[in-house]
Amino acid sequence: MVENLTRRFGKKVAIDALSFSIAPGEIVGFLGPNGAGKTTTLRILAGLIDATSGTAFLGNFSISRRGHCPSRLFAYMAENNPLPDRLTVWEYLQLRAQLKNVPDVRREVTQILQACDLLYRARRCVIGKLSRGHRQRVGLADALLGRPQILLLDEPTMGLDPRQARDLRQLLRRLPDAPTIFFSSHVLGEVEAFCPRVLILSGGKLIADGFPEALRHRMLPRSPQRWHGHSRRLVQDGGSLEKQLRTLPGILEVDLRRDLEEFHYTVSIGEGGGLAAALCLFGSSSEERLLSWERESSPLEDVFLAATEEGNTP
Amino acid sequence: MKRFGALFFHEWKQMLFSPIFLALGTLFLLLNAAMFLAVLQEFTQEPHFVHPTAHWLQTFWIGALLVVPLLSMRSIAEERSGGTLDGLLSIPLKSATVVGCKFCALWAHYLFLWMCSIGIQAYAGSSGCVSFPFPFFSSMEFAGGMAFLAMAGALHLSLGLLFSAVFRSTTMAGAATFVSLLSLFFGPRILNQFLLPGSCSALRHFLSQQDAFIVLEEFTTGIFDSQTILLHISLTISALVLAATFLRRP
Repeated sequence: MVENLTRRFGKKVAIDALSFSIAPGEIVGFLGPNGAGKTTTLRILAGLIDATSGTAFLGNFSISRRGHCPSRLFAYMAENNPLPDRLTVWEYLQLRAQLKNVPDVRREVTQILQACDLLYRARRCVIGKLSRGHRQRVGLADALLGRPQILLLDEPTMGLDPRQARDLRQLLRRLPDAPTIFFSSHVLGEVEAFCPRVLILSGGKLIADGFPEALRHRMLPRSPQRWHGHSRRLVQDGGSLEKQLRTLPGILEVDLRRDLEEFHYTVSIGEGGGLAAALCLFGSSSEERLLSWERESSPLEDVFLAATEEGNTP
Repeated sequence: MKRFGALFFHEWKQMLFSPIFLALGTLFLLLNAAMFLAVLQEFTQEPHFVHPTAHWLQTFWIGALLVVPLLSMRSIAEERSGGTLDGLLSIPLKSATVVGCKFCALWAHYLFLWMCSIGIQAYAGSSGCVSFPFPFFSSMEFAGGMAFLAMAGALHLSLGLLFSAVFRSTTMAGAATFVSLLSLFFGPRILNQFLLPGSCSALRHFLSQQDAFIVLEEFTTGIFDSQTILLHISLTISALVLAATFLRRP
């Protein structure tokens, strides 16, 4: 739980009266433009710097002032994931486990290496020679040593190719004991896919906190909803529904792509509604059979841009 | 204590097997061997009232100026610029533990280098590689010299560690350490001889007590001044406390 957390560097206010709370086991995305204060917040939560004022608790431990939190409670993976290049993966993790006072070092390191898919691939490799993806895995393995309850990850997928990023996200989803994950990233699609809840920071202030869908409703209430329809052709010609859809009230735009046997619709529906009428039209049609009708979830990018645009930035 | 031991051995291992430190250690041993041979050469040409080991130890400042800045400048500044210091502090380890481990590892390595240097010369003397008219190696000079090197080395390394914590650049940290060591070695003598010739005798006495070469001479002859020892210890601790304070600066 974070309450009125403020950090100043001289006259510059890096974070200003930040307040939020995260439930155990929750995965929360932390978004914001460069310089918004994300890393500062994570560094305070990791006990690396003091807050100027305010309080922050990890469980029952206050961490707004350094050195009060037991190492087994949380783990921090820093931006760029700095690692000592000269050590092997095994040596590094063994040292970290010893420093974290892990009871059975050998067993724990082996288990974590296995969980991070490093046991056979990179255990004996020198860290300096690892690929970016494997380095991130080593960083994550280090964070997981001692089974922390809270993971603070500062842009853990930065510099990874899409496959490596996906693998890392899958790894995080599979983690045993389901720790709380506080995940900062610039990749909005990734945050949307991985984090059910997002916090958006701008100019050091928390300007949005919630589920992406709820944020969209709150911040972009008048933006049209987009729906994707997928139907099967029942007669030779077909496709006349497109014209009928366009005439329905509330339908702003209809886009149709045709396959040999199927139609793919993208329909934008405005404030006036029109969804029910559109579905009725499909239901009564003898030319096409509707196979799927899904709403295109609002891209978090729209929410992010709306939240951080000039007028909204404190 | 377990964590302290783990970090200490990690730090020392990094120094023992680092190519840069291996090269530095080799250079240090060669330099000391060359200086010892020069001392022996000098002793064969004219008589001296001191033991060659004690005479050779008077050149400790050359080795210290070479090794101390290079050993200490990387310890914190490099970790800070590389970002690995954050990883260490987020475990979380106390600043005092990190600085203490780094200092102990540096000190152990520094003394190890001196022990190697002295050991090689002792071996050369005892194996008959070098012929000399009286006992080649004196335990008195050795013990006193090592005590001085341990005491002064701790102060020098703690200053190096402090500068490594203060400066982000390793070069700046090394340069600051070099200058501070030069001041420690020659400052008291210069002040005493040139700047304060007519000043009060107490100040002059204090400065002469801080003259590293006089203190070394006393140590090698078995005179251990508790005032000097206490001053060195308190300065070392102060430098380490300051280094721990600077360790966590943003």
